[in-house]
Amino acid sequence: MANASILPLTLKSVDYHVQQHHLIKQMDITFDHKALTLILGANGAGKTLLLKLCCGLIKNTGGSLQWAEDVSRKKGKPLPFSLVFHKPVLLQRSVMDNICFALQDLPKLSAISRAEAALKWAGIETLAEKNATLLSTGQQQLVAIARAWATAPQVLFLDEPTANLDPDATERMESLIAALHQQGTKIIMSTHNLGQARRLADEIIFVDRGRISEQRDAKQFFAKPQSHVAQRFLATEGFL
Amino acid sequence: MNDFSTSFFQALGLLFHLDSDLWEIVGLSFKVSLSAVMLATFIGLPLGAALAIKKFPGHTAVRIIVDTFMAMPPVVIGLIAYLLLSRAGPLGVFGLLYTPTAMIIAQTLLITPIIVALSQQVFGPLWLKFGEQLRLLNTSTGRTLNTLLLEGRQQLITVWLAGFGRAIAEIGAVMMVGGNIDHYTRVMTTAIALETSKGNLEMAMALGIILMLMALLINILAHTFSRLQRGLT
Amino acid sequence: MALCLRLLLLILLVGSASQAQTQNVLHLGTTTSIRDSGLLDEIQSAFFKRHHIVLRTLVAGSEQVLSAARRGDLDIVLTHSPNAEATFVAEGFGLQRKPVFYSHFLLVGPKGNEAGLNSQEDLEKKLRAIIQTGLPFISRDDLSGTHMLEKGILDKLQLKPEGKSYIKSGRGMGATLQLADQLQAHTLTDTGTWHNLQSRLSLKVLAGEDRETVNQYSLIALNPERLPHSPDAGAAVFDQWLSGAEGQRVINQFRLNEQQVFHSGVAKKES
Repeated sequence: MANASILPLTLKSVDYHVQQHHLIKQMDITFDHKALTLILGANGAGKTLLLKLCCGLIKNTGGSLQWAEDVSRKKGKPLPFSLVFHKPVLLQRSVMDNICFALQDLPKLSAISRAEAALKWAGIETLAEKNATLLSTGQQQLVAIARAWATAPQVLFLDEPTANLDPDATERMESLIAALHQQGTKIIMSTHNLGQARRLADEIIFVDRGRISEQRDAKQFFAKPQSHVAQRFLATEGFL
Repeated sequence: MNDFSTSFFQALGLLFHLDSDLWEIVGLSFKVSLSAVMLATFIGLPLGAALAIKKFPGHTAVRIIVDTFMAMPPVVIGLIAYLLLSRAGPLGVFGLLYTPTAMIIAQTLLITPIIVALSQQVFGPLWLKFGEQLRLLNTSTGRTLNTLLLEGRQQLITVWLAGFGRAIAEIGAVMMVGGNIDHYTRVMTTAIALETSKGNLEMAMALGIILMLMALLINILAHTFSRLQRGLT
Repeated sequence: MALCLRLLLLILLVGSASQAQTQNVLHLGTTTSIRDSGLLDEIQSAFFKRHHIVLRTLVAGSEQVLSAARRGDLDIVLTHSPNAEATFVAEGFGLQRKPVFYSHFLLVGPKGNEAGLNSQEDLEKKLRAIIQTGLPFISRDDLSGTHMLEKGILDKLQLKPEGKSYIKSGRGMGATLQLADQLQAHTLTDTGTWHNLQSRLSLKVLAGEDRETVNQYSLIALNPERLPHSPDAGAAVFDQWLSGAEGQRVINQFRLNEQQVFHSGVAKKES
């Protein structure tokens, strides 16, 4: 993290169309350094699309998406941000090899020691030599986040990372996410789980049908949501 | 008329006594079909990957050409190769007609479309699964291809086996461009046809037994590999 | 990396496949009757012993062989279809037609007494009887020498066979005899193929043993000026060998069922 900060990330009137469908509508967001940001909304609201737009996996069809610094890197060098998918994507190799795969720019020995550090940080050293694809989903997700940690990203995006996990695994993931936040990595995470949002968020961005309904401090949001859709969302999820 | 069971036992005799004519024919079949499949994989695999991953300009045209060639019977592919390779044809100066090289060329023409189509079917889902993650890790093109090849290795071996099976079992293409010349371009399939028409059922049966065993082996291997693939994911 | 290994393997394989080209090789085109009688094997090994030239022989019906020669895919041809051969030379593709040996044609058919065919009649009359009675007959139908002979006779007799009893095999002599055997039908065959396969067939000779119907084989040297590419120098060697004393001896000494089937030179009466 010796490089200049790539934050804030500013989205201005961002649109995303797929053929005729207007899926992301005129989004205005600023992601700053400090807050642990949770993107909240119903399924299909556009949370995943928003994350992919930020990562450059898909290209916005309108508006602008601007990082503070250039985020492109030479092929083989890690990007300054990472994304953890809601379903872990690992290779048919050992956990160790999976993490080293993300560290191609390092000489072999440095990569190995960095990977070992990542495993230690995530508390999964015992899994080092196991075939990653044979692990449980919870363990695989831990490998995924360890891999992301290993490249020391400035920003970590997470797309409903605990959606498929049991409560124990969810707890472990959440504590690692919180730890990352403590260490200074900007967290931008989506969820439709209100409890999780309540536990982790400093800031809530509420997405409804491709639009930003609210971007507010978390405490204020949960105390009294301003938008109608957010109110209904909280109500139907059993929150008062 | 020969009693078929006598011929059958004579056929087994030919196999076990390592009749040199027989094994020369088997050896040539292997050389031709193996070479063809290697060439076809070399050309077809990257093309299948490209079709699966990137909608490059002209990709629809390529796919249509591939599908058309796949639908053609081997004898027609043989005819095309024959017209190309005959001394009266555009590639005549090389004098390749009626040589094993011509047979390799014809079989490569036959098998490459199959490899392209099947490997596209393998790379498609692989890319869907790994594409975004590989892009996020800023992986170079070469490494991406290698990674996909490794991740799909069991399925790709099955693709290779399908290509080989098709090559070693066909007669139309090799008959047309090879001419079934004794000790030179005679392979298992063309030999079976010839020996049967001459009434030499022992030789024909011996070769037939080998081909059937080969088909069996290929299928066993294919099943094993696809089970390995499923077992790991 | 894996690809590199495969490429290497490929080069090795292709390399070994073409390594055989270092021998002296001659591309001969000849007919199915010469192969199916077993004479071709004799010629190939005797010629190789003498001159160390390997004969790569394309075997097909006479007209098919001549077509391949016109395209430049052969070095020399040995066929038995006189009219087609004359045309070939007249068109300038062949330098000259050299008759080198001959055998005979037979009319064969199922064992058993078919409508009086056992009586003493010559080949042409029996063929007419078969066609007119509608007995099953198999034609080569491939513009081979045998087929051309059949056509010649049918034209002469002003017969136009049609219908289900006139079967077109489109295949070589041995295969056609096999078909005749399976279908218990009649066909024309050369003596060479007949004697070689006879023991496996349940057919018998109906006519032709008088040796009246001649089957003349001729060698044709190709004209380099009409072809896309010059014939190999070995062609002249083969020409001299086959038409010379040694080749002729091989022909005459060839035995099937202890009979001499092929005779050197020109038949006294050519069809």
